Amino acid sequence: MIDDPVLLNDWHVVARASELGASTARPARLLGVDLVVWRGDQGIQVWDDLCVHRGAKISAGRVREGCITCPYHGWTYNTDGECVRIPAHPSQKPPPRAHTNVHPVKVAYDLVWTCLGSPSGDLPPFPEWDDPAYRNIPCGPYPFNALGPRVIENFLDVGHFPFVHAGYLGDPGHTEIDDYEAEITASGVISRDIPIWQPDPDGTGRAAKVLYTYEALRPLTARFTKAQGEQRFCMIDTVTPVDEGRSLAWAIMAMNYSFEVPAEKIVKFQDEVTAQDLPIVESQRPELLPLDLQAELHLRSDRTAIAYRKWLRQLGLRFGTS
Amino acid sequence: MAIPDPVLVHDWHPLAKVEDFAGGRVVASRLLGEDLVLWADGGRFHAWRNLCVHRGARLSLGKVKEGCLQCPYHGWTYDESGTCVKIPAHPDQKPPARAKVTVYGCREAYGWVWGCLSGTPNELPVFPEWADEGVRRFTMGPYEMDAGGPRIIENFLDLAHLSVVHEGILGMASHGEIGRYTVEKTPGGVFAKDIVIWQPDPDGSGKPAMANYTYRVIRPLTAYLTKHAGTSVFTMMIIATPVDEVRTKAWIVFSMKGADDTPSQQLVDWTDRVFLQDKPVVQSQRPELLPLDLQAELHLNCDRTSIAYRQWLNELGVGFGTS
Repeated sequence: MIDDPVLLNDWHVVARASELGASTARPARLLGVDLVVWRGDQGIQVWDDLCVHRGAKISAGRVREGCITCPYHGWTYNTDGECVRIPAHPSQKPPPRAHTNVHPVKVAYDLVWTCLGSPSGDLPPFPEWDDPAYRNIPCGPYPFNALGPRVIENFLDVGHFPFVHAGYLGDPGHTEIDDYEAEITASGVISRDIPIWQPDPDGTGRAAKVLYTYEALRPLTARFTKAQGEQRFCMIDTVTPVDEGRSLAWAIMAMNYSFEVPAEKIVKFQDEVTAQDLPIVESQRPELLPLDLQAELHLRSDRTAIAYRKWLRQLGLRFGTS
Repeated sequence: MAIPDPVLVHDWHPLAKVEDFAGGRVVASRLLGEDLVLWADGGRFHAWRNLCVHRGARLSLGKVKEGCLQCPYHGWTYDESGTCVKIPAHPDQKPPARAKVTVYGCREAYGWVWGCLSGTPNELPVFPEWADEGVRRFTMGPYEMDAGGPRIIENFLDLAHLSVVHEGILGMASHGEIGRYTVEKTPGGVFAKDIVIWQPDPDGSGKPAMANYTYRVIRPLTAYLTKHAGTSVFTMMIIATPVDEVRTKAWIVFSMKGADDTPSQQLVDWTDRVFLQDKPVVQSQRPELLPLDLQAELHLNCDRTSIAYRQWLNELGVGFGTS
């Protein structure tokens, strides 16, 4: 287990709820801990993926009658994580130590969230999810061979659009970034109304400047709102710290316009944008985000990143930083 | 950067072929554990640390534009001296003085681009036949090996494996004995001569002959072989580029005088075959770091070249790839 109190006590996504069938268990990995996620009678369960008998992975087992059965010797666990049956000794009461490590679960935005420690706060808010004016479109998860702080900082970065996302989110002929302010608040970081030139911000094919508002909501969760007139395009991005070298980025887009455009087309666009980011973010060295602001160079256009690094330092985040 | 090795840091190491840069391609490389970006413009070659100082992205994913190298992430543009001259997000702002890339030595020779991590480089190793119009000359490689450079050079100098690993080409099991030969160690390297070996196909011509070998180790990871066999004279220089301690790219330049009826492609294929025979054996050697303490492995009379090589590396103070 990765020893970072901030992330151990935070909520992280381990599955998409609608993809969890009634009779399947699936493996996940969080902060170096292997987990099994499955749907029981009392709701979705997240446990350590380890049968205490011989250490087999429970996620390879079967869900039946509200219990999950270890694939090795058939030890059967109820939704409290207690072993209720040992087939080799059917008349013996399973010993009290025969139980698994059960983690708290919350389901929100069709995502299954868990916490390996004691939750220090609530889930990050995404009010558009329940707002009928918006259509919600999930995308990802996108695997990165990079760590969460680098992935989130790239999500918050405005200067790379003309180079990494030319023709998609930026234009090499319009690279200049106007001045903006970034603020550290009680709940995170916010940079409001950054004007960004985009080649086709609304699908009409007409280039225009749009206003981006970025927020870091949790150390590994951020969102932006892209505004053009009354149109709003919002996106929340939450990065699961899988282990010391890997991350999984889950995202939801919410739009109050263009309801006629198929969701598949919007997801495909986002998949392509992420594929453009991936090799760059995976190439960044050092892999641990330097919180010492002298270690890399920062310009006015990097104000969100500067505030994000300062905020992570205030929080005392150790994982993925140096 | 922490200096990876006080000796090898001053040497030149081949990193890429000139043809790799066709069409303005930017090349990622690695030398002595340091990630490098190589690029060319107007016939000039550059070897830099592969890192943009802004957000640490690899410059090797970037582009050559108007004599400059542009970072793939935010378009920071570096001129030939490694100085950032343009930051597209702030076109009117002069880039800060710290916006520089670490620049290393870079030059071209034998159709290859060489790099040196030190500002006070040694001379390039010389392959005298390269300038001789009267002989056929070839370059080969790079041969990538998951092994340290010293193990690869020592294998190049090794005689007793010829009849085992290269049986039918450079030796025969029935002629495995290695006779006496002369080894000299000087401050400039190791010299071994008067080595006589019966070989079924000493030079790729397919004609058996008594081969007479002379070895010169001229740098810790550069060795040179002259082989007289029948009426032909075959010379070969190997330069082992230390990618990191246990990964190496071996570059070969060789010449052939005589054997005029042997097609060039046959000579090249022969060299290729010999190196592919060595590869699995050298990659299997443990420890991967060559033990300079002569008590650590066993040494016989036939191993006197490698004894002298290990002693010489020890005297020079080569640490990288050794233990």
